[in-house]
Amino acid sequence: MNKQKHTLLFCLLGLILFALLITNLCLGSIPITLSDLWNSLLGSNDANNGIINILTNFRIPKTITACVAGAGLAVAGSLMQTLFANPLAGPYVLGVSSGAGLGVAMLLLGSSFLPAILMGSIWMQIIAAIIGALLVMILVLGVSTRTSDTVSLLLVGMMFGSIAGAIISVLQSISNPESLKMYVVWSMGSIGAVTSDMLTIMVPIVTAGLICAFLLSKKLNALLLGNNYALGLGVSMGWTRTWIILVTCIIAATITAFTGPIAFIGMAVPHIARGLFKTSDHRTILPACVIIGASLLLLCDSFTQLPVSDYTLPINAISSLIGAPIILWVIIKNKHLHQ
Amino acid sequence: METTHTLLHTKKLAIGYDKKQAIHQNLMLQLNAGEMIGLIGPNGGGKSTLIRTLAGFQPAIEGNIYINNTPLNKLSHTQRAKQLAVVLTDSINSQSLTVKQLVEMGRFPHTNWAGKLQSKDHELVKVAIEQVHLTHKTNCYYNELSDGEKQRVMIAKALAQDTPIIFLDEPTAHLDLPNTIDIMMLLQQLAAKTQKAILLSTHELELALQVCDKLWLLTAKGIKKGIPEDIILSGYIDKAFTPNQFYFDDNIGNFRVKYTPKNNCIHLIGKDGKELYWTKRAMERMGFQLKEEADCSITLLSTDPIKWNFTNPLYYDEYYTLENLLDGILSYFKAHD
Repeated sequence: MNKQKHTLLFCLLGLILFALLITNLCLGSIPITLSDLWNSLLGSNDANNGIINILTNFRIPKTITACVAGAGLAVAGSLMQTLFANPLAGPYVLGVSSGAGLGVAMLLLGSSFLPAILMGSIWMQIIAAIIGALLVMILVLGVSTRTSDTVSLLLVGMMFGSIAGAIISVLQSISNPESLKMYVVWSMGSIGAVTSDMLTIMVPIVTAGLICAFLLSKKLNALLLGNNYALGLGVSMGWTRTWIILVTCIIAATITAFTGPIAFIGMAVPHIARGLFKTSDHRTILPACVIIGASLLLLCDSFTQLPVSDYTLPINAISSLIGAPIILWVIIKNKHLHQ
Repeated sequence: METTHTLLHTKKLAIGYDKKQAIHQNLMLQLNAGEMIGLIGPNGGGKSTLIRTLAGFQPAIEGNIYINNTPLNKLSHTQRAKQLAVVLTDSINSQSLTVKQLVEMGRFPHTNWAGKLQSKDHELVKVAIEQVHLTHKTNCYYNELSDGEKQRVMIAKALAQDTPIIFLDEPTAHLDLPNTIDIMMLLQQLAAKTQKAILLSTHELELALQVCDKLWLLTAKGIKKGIPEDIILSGYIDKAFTPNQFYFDDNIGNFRVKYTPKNNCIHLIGKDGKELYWTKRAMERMGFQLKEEADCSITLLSTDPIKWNFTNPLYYDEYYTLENLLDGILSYFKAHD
């Protein structure tokens, strides 16, 4: 019974994702009609070279980025909510995104003090982002073992976010104009700025992270019962915690390194998934997060193009406009948060 | 002739958090198959610490714990989880877990990396839910159940884990009396029927005396072990709890309140039965001393309808409820003291 319902739901979500993919490829400063898209993708003779150019160089990388980033952030959010046993956890609110931002800022703005060889490499940017994210996550996790209170944990995340922001401001004021410009471009960086070269790095890393997350499903399910019950079921807590943190940081930090911060997707999507599938089983929720996360970020990205064709709106603003109300709904609905 | 099969034993075990200040030390404990052991003692006496240590959740300060003669710390996490299951006081916050899903978690140590259940696992889950009488709630959400049902789900999870040993830390802590009795009886039957060793800590001393096969009483001077009746006769229960306003009544096996006695004496007359017993309890509660050589006397005249006669040197009166009787006695003593 339940299995059939879930399969049906997965098919439906798959269709929605497909529709959004097509929409996303068509929308933009130069709209592409469905027939043009069809011809170009099939490589038929009627295809317009200009449109093929737009698709291969801009639209397709952007669409793939949106899918990967949405899916990755959603799964990272789901892992964090289970690890912290806290429905309000997510890469953005707990400061992991800020940590990644700090890492990148250190690298780009501190360039005047660093040897030139470290500069300009996209790998360095990723590693810096991951180190920054790990640092914040370990600090937050350290505090979370001392307080299980939801609100204080969020405040702790916000504080680390503020500290990261403050350090970035300091770095900005003492760095040279050239590196400052590089950082500002990154921090505003949108999904559209990711090139297909960058994708060849981002997609494998995030995919590897997602596979690791799927492999952790069983242990994540045990964590739903709380640390002590998980221990009683034979979960080795230290090992499991370490892996969850590592996977979360690699996924969230890699995405942030390429796209800049994207708010609320990671926090909101797991709630949508649990609400739709009416289960907490990660073997269902994680794949659902992948599809819904990809769909939601594609939707957000479509909105950035939709209203006024000449301007592209910042993706971070749109994702906040869509994600924050979902979180508000979770807070109002969830009575457990009050204790 | 059945031979007792020892599942777990300890050698010179010391428990606690600080090496210099062990809560208990030199413990030689033994858990046998088919035995239900009640762990009792005052708050802060180390009940949870002992259970956590025996379950391998926290290291022993000294000594060793053996499961089937293998040291506990030599077992991997999964091997340990196949030998012993725990039921804790921790509440489960997850919103959307059904009873079935939760009980299926018990199969965790037995399934592959993806946690896929085989037909044997499904069968064990079904039987575990049946054993705690929750078959009709199989597909209900855990957080919509009553407290008693929630506790039974966690017991079913431990049963599904299919371990020879089950530890329960205060399984009846948040339950009302009918649910408490229900859980204790359930555990007793499970121990006898499945030949599991069950160790549970509890505050329900009176109930533990009635249903447990053996008791471990945590006192300041170590752990006293034995069958409930021997523990009562040893007189250790009263000492272990060092009560001020309570005392342990060895005659009936439960705690009684110490009432402040008054100087007023009454002679109680009547036929033995529940009416006389509760009349006596009411007098004790008021602090009246029951003596034969008293100026006043109460006579239980009849039980259907229930009727008392209060006689004193000045007058006598009849009463139909204990409340009126007590009022009558009090007003007499007030006027003549």
